[in-house]
Amino acid sequence: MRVLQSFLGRAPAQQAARLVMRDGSAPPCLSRAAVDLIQDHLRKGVVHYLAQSGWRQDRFLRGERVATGRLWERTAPAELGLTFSGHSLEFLLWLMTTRARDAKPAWRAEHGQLTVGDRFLFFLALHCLRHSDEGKTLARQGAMHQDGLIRLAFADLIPQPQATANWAPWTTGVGACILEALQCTLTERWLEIERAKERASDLKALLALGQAQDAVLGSLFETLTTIGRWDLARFLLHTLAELLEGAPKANRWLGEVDLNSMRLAARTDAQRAALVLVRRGSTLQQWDAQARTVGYFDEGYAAAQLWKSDWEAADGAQIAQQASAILREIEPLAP
Amino acid sequence: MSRAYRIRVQESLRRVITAEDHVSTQLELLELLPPEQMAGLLADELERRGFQKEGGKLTRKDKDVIIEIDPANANVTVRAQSSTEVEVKGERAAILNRDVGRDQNQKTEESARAELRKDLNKKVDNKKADLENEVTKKLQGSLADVRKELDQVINRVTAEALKKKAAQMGRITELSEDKASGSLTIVLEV
Repeated sequence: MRVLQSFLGRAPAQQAARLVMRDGSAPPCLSRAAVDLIQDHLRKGVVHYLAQSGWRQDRFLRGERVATGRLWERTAPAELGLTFSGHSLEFLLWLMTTRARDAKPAWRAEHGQLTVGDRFLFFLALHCLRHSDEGKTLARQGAMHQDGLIRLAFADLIPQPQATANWAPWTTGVGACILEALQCTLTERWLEIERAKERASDLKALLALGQAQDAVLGSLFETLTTIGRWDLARFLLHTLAELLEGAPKANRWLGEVDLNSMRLAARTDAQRAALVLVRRGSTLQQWDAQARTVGYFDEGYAAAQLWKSDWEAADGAQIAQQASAILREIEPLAP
Repeated sequence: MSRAYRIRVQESLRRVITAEDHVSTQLELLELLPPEQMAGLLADELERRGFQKEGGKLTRKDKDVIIEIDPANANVTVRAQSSTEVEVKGERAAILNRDVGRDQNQKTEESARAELRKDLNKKVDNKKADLENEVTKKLQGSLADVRKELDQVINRVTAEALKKKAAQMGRITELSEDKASGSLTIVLEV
């Protein structure tokens, strides 16, 4: 229960890190009372967690129109229900009964069988444990590698660009509503990852992170374009706006990595990998250009209007200008 | 009293070392015409500038720097490479002792020879690193000119594409072009 409380943000994260993956022995089963208690914690805790960010007055797409209001005003509360399957319970049991150093789980969830609730619990667990060794162990589990949201939020923990990110649970129904509520969390996470690059010293790790970020952003952009939900990438506009404030130089993203001793090809690869978010920002600008060509009677008018408004609110033109200045520094053939 | 004596082992190493460095980018061409027509205009302009067709790509070699452009996707690779034959020689002393037996002395001599070979390989590696630095510097030195030429290529291709586009839209009544400033004025009768 104490671990679950930490995952749900109602107790310090260190508490969970101290308790999970310590004991190798599993209890034969849980009592009905224990299961009821877990259910109760999930039922109330997840709602509380999402309400903390979902209370903001915001604007997101609902079909062909823009819905304004708090999360539960944009979508009827009855449609916001989450289901947790037996996998959630197995996952929690596994966390408590495996040893971090063993990391050979009996728990192995099949992707098709996971509910959005299960996936969100995995997200919460990883978010809580991300700074600890236990978080790194958890991130190694296969169930995490294909989940779009987890790959997006923890690209620094899951350098697996080969695996295809599954976006379906997070871009439709209640999953998309969760993604809306997590926009601030995702901004904070991406800022955390990008700012950690200022202290980077391991070139290999920096390249792997760049590849992971590039892969997840590529698949996210492709999915959002296909389903016409550019608004779900708003957190990237906010991340870039904050990151590029004060017109930083490109070397800020390269920490202490020594580029001078490298060949030009390797140097450019390293710089491009470190600045993958800034490079990928050009897609957001393309969306703005595309949005400006959508007329009132065209399909996707609401999505286009909303993105134009998001772009202007975040001063997208300034972001694009600063991003372009930084990229000119690293591209040897840039004009 | 031991009967020690000193020997000298000599080795030489001859090797061809190669160094290569490159940078790649993509030309930013405006989509004024369908991609295949833009690719055609790009290929024409490059051929006019001395690039030669090799497979689907156009390449030109200036001394040790090769520029390779794929007109289909406008990818540009500028590559510098150099290779040279190096010969390094060295010698090393070893102390042998008649009292320890022939096998032991042979081992000592082989060990000295192995050490010497290791030193020579290190020297070759250093020479390779020097050559790589030289190639990287050569590449960096050539980039300003390449960049300038690519800008000119983009301007020419854009101008040609604009002329074609204008011709598709109506009858061109006036066309003035200042190649120095890159400005192009087209007056159309639609």
